[in-house]
Amino acid sequence: MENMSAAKRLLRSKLFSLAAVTAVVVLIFYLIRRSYLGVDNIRGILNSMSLSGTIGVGMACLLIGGGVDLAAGAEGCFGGVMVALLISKAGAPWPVALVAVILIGAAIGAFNAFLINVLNFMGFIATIGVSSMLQGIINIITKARNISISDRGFWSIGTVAVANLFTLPFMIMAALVVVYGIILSRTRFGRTVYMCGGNRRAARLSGLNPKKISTILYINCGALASLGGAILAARMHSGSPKAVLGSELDAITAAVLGGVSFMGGAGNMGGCFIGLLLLCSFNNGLISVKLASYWTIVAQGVLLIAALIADYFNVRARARELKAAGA
Amino acid sequence: MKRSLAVLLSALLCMSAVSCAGGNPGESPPPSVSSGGSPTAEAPPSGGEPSAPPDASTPAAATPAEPTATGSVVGRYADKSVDYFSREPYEFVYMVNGMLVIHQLLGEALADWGGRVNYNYSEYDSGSDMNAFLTTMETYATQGYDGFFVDPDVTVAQRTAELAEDLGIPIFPVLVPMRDNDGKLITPGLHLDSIMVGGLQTQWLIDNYTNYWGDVDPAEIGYLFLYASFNKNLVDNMVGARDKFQETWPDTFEKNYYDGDCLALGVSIEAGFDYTSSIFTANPDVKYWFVSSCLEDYGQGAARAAEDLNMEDRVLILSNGANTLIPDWQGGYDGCWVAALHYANEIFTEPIACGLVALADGRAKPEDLWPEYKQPGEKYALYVVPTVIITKDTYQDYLQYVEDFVSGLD
Repeated sequence: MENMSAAKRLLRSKLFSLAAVTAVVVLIFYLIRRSYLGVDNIRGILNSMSLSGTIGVGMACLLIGGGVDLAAGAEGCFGGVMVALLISKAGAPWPVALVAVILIGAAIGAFNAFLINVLNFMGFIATIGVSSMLQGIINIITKARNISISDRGFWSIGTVAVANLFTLPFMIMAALVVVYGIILSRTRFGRTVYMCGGNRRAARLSGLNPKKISTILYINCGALASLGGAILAARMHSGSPKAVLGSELDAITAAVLGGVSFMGGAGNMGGCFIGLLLLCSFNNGLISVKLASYWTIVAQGVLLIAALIADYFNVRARARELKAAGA
Repeated sequence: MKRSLAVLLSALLCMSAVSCAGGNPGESPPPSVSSGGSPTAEAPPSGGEPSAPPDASTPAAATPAEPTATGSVVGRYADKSVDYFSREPYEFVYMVNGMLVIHQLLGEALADWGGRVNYNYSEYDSGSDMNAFLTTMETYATQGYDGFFVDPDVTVAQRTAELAEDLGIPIFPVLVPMRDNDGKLITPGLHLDSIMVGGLQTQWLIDNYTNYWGDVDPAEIGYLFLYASFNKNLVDNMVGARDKFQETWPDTFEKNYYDGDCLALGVSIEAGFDYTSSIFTANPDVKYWFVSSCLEDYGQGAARAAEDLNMEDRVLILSNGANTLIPDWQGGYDGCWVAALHYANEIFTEPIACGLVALADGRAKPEDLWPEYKQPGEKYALYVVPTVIITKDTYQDYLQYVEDFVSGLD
């Protein structure tokens, strides 16, 4: 009986619905074009997940904790440009440069947290301001040009692959998903994040410190965004003043698709991962079937709306069940 | 609450999706940014203008930037009769309606020209507020400015020209030629012939692929042109490239041409990577690939994708713009990104800087500048920016040419 109810729960879970939708999408594209599930294409899909995924891990934690960082793309761009400058212009060894840009990203995250938690600015506005500022600084220091990186050791971060399928950027992203998934679901800190995101006031009244949690999450988001930008720079062999910008929206989309609530307090890393997989598989499929780009944009919007509608009915069904149970 | 938000968000997404879908790539083209500083200008008129042949082996010969042989030197730096330093420096301002990277790069080049033709340079960005743009023009006029480099919104180009005329101050458009509501030029201007440039890109690949692959059957070659359809110039670049491919190899066009509109992925290296990677892996039956791009970032992304898929020996990439590629070549890069259509910002801005000085000097009226570039029915000239295709073997010649062009005239 218990087994049946567990199976029922699994079937009704958001994660399962999302995985099913992803499987259907993959199947459709596979039927249209058999090379869709070729090793090279799967590798391409996984590769395309790495940037948004790395940023998305930090973003999902932040969203669950009740915040949002619209500067994450600019932070990633800044990370990519800085790692290129440190390696190519300052002659820093790449591991040093990589650590340095993660710290720089963390510092930017701390600045975001200062604006939001100390000066009490709204997260949306504050991070948009920081994003604009960072983009300006990036253009000033690069003179709006790409910074080439010739350190082949650094390139290897972007090119090493296991079984010619799992590239290092993807594996780093996957490792982050697992680690942060465990932190969120199995640790006291993780539960605190959910509590602060779900009801900040209640969390404060129960003795938690939401501002401290929020600060940690913003720092974390900045550091991961910067790491994502640095990894992209390794893949592309250059730091570009236009790279990564806008990736925060992909990260947010993937998180929302994966069940993370924009209001905070709900969601998990597994959902984010599948949401991102769905998004990237979908985008890759649309390109491979030669859909006109304007229709691609429409299709992306439809996918997101479909996920939201599914979520809406899911929530409504649960509410009915709870009501029935209460009666 | 959540339910309401979900419904609201869905409605907003629907509206944004519809508005995206309703966009017409041919409408209201914003100034485009060619990666790393390659400006693209307005849609070209019919052919026939002086332009650069795609001869990578003789880059200097491919740049008709020296007007002395056939054309007017008034408003060009080649006019040796002018002593630029016999007067006080002019005060010129570059007024932009929404500063983009390309404006910054061209602004740097214009500032450099100020040192050679004696003007003080400053910049103003109206932040997409055309009212502020126009009122600030008046403010600059009252402050005694002598000339305006301008990039207004295309919808108020005519009003901008009229205001400048009322103020009695010469103007010169930088990135996009200024036209009236009938499409006629209302000032002299510059442009890249995007369709012709696209044709040159394709022609170079067709002319040179045997040097890399030997005697390969054209039927085995796929052609992917990467562009973004939000801008008419970029679309024209693709059209020129596509049509040349179709014209040259009509039998293989239907099967082997791939339209690479990266609009949905954005303008970035990663967009080029993801698009190229998807197309390559979706078409494993295509043995060889030409990849050409309207932006350098797309070309760079395509190069990384080819490397990632270990296809370097089966791919030839030619980008529009080489500001990243040149440093890569200098660093020893020798991969499948083999060529680029390029022009230096110094070359692009020279007629603009010298033209405005000539107008401010009173040495020429706007309609007098560069008569050899006037199209039938037009009152003003539309100077065609010289371009050249460079390779690892020829880029140094081109850099030397640019250096000679600038420093030799100092």
